[in-house]
Amino acid sequence: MIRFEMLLAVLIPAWSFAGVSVEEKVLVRDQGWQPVIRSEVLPDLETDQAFEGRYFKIVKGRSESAIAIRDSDPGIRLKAATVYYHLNRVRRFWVESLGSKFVEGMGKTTVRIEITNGFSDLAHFTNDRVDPEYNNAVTVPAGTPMAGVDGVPWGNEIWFRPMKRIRLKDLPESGLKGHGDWIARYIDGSIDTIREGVLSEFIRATVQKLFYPSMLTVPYPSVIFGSLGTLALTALIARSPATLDRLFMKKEYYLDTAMIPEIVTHEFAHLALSDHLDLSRSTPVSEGLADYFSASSTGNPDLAAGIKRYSNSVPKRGRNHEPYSSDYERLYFSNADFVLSVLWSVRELFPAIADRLILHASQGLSTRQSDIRHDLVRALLDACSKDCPDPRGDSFRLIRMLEKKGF
Amino acid sequence: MQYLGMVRRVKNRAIQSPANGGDFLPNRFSSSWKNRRRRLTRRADLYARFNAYQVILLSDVMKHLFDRMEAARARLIFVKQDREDSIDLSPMGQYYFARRLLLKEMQELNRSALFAGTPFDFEEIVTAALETGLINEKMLSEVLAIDDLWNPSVAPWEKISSYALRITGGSTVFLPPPFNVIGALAMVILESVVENPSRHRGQGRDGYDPF
Repeated sequence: MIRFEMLLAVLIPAWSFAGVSVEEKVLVRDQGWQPVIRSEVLPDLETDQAFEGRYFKIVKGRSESAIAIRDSDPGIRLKAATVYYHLNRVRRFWVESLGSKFVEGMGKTTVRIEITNGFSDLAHFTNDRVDPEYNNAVTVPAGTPMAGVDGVPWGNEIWFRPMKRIRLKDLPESGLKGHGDWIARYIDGSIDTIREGVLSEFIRATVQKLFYPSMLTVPYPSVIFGSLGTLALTALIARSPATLDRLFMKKEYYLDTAMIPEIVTHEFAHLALSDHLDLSRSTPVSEGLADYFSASSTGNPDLAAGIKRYSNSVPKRGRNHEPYSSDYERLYFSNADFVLSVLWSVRELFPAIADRLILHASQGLSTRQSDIRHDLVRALLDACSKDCPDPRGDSFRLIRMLEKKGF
Repeated sequence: MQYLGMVRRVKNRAIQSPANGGDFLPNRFSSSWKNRRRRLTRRADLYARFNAYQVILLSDVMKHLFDRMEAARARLIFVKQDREDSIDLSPMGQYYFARRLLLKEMQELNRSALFAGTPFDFEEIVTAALETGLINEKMLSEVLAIDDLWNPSVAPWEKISSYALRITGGSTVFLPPPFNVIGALAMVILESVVENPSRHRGQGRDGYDPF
């Protein structure tokens, strides 16, 4: 016989998280992949007062309290709602489509927006006055403050920096001479060669005029005027980049990471892969995998494209024909889209099993050691030998695709 | 009866090779004409020219390729007097090396007494592999591209551009100035298009990096 107490024992845990749904304005992509702001339901909220839900808590800066849903700043509300909405959407993708037990068992994640502090693995945050950061997002690993430092242990977190419009000419060390851009550098190099040639010709003609006047084939005044004219022209050309810059080069750089859905899902992908790809650093392989799962969750191979209001940086494209180069192994190119294009090609080859295959492949990789040419390719082939319906034939197709990608 | 005996021996090998999942469905490649005038399909020509053991040997050349490609690791060892220097091949390096070894095995087998008087080419190896069930029709286009290494396929546009380059090259000599400049400019443009490295990916290359 079912007693009332037994019934309560079953129902109370279920009731304890009934989940509140609130409608808020968020930025999403419409059918044409254009960014639009519209009302969407924010699922699994604990209350209708704050952006804190079963799986994510959205906070501002270093605070530990969730942002209020009725926050006075509409920009903050929009940002928090957008981040909350897309994180929950992509979490569902990982649990339901990819069957990730790790994501399903993940506790609540703190997500910080508008945070400018650097990350310190010894103290959680660097000092507020030290090198504030803008225009990026990062997933930070869990940690404990070192002895003697105030603070509490923290879990894996996602941080979104605020946007800041930075003028390119204000950038510190660019390493370029001239007017600080590659056009000027190229022109300067060419002009140096021309100047040396003109000078040599002038010296030759002068020596001939002084010691061997009969050998001089061109009137000496012509040599002087020709040399001066060439030097004047080269000086004019050297000044041209400053004018061309104003016409052709981007003048500023900005990136509002929290307002770009693909960046939100990219950062979550780092979290979802953190059971075997630790968060200690960005590598081409780890960034490429996060890019792929972000793109796969929407089915669109382009990341951060067509969203000029919040980003003027170059988008990442899953369909590009760049061939492999060993340069892509360098950490400097961690944010290139080459690995994304390789993985997207795998998806086009095996559309039905690509996500599982790539997830399976990623489990054989490590942040510190895996490179593209050896480890990623080997992981894909090993995963295909187990997951592909025709292991031999499909592995062969994969190899041919990699060959065309320039491996 | 002799023909049936030959096919039975070859097909018995197919049963032992489970990679194909026992797929004995007809495929268009084996049924396509090798010699239309003599009404010989590739399959018929194979059995006409080779006995069962030779067909199996031809198929084994392809099998060795797969075994090498599917190996967990491939390593080059340079043995010196006092030490060894070993280099692990990358997965793609392993594939390119296995492909070169296939060419080497083909050449050695062609020279051997087993095939004296009956030379074979790569397409016959592919036909033999289909007959023994080592490969199936689904992977045929990829397998046929293996010989790109020594027999690169030339796309129709490449043939056209090759003719065009020859003609424009001649025009720079025979056209009177200043019209020969047009020929020279056309050559520069054509060469920049034809010589685009990305067009040569996977075609007759020996791999970007064997290691």
